Amino acid sequence: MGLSEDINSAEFQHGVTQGFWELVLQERDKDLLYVRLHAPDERNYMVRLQCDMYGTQPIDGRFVDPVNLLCVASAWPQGNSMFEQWIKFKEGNGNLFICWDQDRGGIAQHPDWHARSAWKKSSNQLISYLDFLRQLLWLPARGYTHQ
Amino acid sequence: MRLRIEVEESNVVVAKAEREVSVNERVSDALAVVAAELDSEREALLKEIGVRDDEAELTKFFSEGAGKEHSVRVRRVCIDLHFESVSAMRRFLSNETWADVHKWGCRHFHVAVDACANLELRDGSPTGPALNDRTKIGPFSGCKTVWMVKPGPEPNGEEMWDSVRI
Repeated sequence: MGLSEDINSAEFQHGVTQGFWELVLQERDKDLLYVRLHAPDERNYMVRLQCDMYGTQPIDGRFVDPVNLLCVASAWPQGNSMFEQWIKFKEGNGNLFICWDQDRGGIAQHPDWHARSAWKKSSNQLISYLDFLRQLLWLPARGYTHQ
Repeated sequence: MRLRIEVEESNVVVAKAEREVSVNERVSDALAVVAAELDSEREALLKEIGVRDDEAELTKFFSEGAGKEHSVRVRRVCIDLHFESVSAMRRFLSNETWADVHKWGCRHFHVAVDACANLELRDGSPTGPALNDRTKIGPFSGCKTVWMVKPGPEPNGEEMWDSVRI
């Protein structure tokens, strides 16, 4: 499945109707998506998903400021040490990336993860990515700090 | 005030309850009786009637409507809720939220409050799409299968999709 098919999939629409996420902007020529994620504390986070080489390579996700679309620490959700395993929200030391084996930034930090090709396990790479972020925000055990 | 509630499932009225609600009785108790007759939750019925769950407000609402009739038709849907190896069917008002299903499921299957918060509802199967507690169930016909699952642990880079027993 290609990126367009996955954006238009029933699973993506389900996440929209359930109030988990919404597509804000798509730059087709760059395979770039901006998706607003809704958190249980009524906050929203904008995530920029670089989806070039979709299917063959992992998505590169970064939280960005919803106004200027820049990746800044204030745009990142925060949490406890559990949450920080995945979301490197503290500025400095090469942080501001998503430490997961389906994220390009995470794999850059852990090159051995590339061989797992974990992003190929799901039939819908985009949903797999968004559902991962959804769980981080919505499941208390994942450690997101409500603002 | 005469309160008349009709319950509709798949466009057919399947239950009715009628009661004269007097301000001389505790209104919330009277509504609890109506809710029990309809096999529904009192709080859910109040949402449908459009009055806040507060005794003073309830008394005001029903005293202002004395001598009148207040008729409400509510839609009810069937949920077949699965948890681990057990399941239970329950009807909910379509205006209730998935949080109501989630809470009922935890009560019914004796899940502790802390554990309950880390379970999530999934549509159709243990790996189906997630249902948001904040969203209304909405109308549908037939009985919807919903799974209450605990997502697996996810140390970074590990697989998270398998639902595990708690």
